[in-house]
Amino acid sequence: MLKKKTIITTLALVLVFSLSMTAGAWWIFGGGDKKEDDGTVTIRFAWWGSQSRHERTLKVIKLFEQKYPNIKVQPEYTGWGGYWDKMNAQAAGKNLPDVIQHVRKYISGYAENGQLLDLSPYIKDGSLDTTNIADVYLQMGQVYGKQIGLATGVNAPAGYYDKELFDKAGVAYPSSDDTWEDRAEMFKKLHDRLGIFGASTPTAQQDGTGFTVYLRQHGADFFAEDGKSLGYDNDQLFVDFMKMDLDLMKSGAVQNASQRQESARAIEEDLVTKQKAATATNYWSNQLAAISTGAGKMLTPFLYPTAKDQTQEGRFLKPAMLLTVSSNTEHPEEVMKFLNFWFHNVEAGKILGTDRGTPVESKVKSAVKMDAGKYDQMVFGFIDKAAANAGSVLPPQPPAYQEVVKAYEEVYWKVIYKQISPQEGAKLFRKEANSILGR
Amino acid sequence: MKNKFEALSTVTSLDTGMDRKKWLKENLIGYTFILPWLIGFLAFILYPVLSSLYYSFTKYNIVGTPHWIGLKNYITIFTSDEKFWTSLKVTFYYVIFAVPLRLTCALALAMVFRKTRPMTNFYRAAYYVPSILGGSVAISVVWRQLFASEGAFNDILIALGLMNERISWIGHPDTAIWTLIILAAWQFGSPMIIFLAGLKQIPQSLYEAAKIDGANKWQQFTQVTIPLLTPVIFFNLLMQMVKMFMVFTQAYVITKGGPLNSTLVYAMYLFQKGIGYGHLGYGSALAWIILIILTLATVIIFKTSNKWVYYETKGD
Repeated sequence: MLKKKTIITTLALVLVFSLSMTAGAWWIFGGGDKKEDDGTVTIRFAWWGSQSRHERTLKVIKLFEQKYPNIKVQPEYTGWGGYWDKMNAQAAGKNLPDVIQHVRKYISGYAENGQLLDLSPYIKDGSLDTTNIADVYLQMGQVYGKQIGLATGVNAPAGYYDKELFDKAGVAYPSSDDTWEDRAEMFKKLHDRLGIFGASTPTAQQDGTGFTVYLRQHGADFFAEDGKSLGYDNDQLFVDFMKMDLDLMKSGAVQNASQRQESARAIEEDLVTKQKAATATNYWSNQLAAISTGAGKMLTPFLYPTAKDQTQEGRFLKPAMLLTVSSNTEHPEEVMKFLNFWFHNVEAGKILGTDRGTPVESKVKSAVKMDAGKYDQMVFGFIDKAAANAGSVLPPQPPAYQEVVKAYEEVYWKVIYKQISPQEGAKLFRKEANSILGR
Repeated sequence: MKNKFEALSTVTSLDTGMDRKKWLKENLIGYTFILPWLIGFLAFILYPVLSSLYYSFTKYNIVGTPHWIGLKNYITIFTSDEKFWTSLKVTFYYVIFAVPLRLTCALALAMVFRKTRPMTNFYRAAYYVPSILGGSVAISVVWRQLFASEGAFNDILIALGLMNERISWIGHPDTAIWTLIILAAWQFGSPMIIFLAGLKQIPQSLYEAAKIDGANKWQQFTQVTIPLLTPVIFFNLLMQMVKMFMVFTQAYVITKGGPLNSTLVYAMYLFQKGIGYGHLGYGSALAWIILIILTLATVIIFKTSNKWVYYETKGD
């Protein structure tokens, strides 16, 4: 009798245990989106960024939660590396966070597949407030005629230089009229006189930003307008661009291939922050605070160079990033409250500063500007200069953007490791890119 | 359920409607106890594995829905995917060097720790630690720093006078894969523990007999230890090979597959395609190909095992 009782008790225990495990698994895979008993709603917010961005964002979340005690915001943040792997995996599992920090270049793939919520109806019925946000900024969040996201701020490709090192070397500061050749000279001089690198790389290479600017300056573009092929016909452009880098590598003014390979991936650890290079060339204007924090002193932003024979202005402004909403969100109402707070609350705007680009909401912008710390002031000044030197708006990138850029990166590595010549590289990249885009 | 046959007979009796109660009593308890594991297996192993088989025949963008395209993924992989062959080459290179190296280290250390001396237990535990930590991101980050041109490895070589110039071990296409292989060899803890258990099984009398026959230490090792250890070597070889074919974290964190794809191991390429670019269908096809390759490799090792694995009980 006793034995039977023991067995039954054990059975019951095991059942309860395994049921609770299943329930646990259920909850994990259902996502954290659940209304708790006390009426609190939890929304998830994912972003990538540096340490300074994480701190600012967490502060804003805290402020929001104080104002809306019944909404909890669950932060999910990483660095840029790995962020998209994570988002892609969550998209496949239909488990995207409610609010997703997005980027213009990857947005078309997500929008095409209906992963992101169209915000237009919410703007129309007034639950999403866009007053004080100019149309030109709203357009930055539109894809396929839908308002897929809201631009957090405006951004421009930027380099950063260490004034003290320039003074020490007696080299003139970079100017916005410099040509690519002037910059090459500058890097070489810095290298000769200081014995450090002029920069890690002559421009942003791996993500194709430098090449995009160069192409635009020569009347072409990275992608054709329909996104089905490359936007330039003359392979000589690719060859000249790569040769510029190879020349600099040879002089020792920039890192060689294997040094680039093992370079740190975090902006705070860029060579310029350790006085091992006089400049950094491959960043964006909103990263001033991050890179200056890394350096422990103010670094100054500078524009990309011009081309001496340029047919048009190739430099550009772009939305720094976008806030988008998952189409699977169960709490659109709360999400809109969060977005309204994010874009219109002056306190929040002051905390965020220019870390996600200079604010797009005019009231917040003037408040931030008035109150700006030294970093933000510098960024505002730089963005004004960049706006005065910006060409046409970048067209939206095709869904296969990521893969084409990866193909560019691989050819770039082959060229700088001197496995193939720039000419062969140009042909190889064209072949690979067209096969990806033609699919 | 005492053994297979008894279970079978109870099932038969169940079919004929006999003794249903007895069957329930005997088996339900057993199944209930393994229920947590069973649920885990069905939900997290069987279901994903089977769905990936289906996805491998589809064009499936990670943020979209799958469309059936038959064998197209497989055909593309074999006919026009150069990187597939690169990653296969890299993976085989890695496995061929890393597995024997790890097993050699494991066996060597197991021989050292075979006899219990003071502190032996401490050392056994200490050498086991890398095996637990080795696959982690933290160790990979340490490794990246260790083998960088400014890293400690260069410092040591220069201090020893073996080198006068710093080499970027991670940045050079010929040496990058070796930083991963050395990391793999360093994690010899778990095969070492298994070898230790195997060594303790070898009867002392055999060594005594060998000694009387005039065998020296080395002869004892090659003529007694190795042959009697072959079943354990066989087991370790299989386990480690399977593990190494699936190496991912280290390549992802230390080298990101670079330079020039020289460390693009198979799992890394699969991840790049499936998750990075979002071609989940294509990625699934890649996963099934490596599964088949791995199965083949296992079968081959099994087939050759009767040529070199000696079981003491054979012929009893």
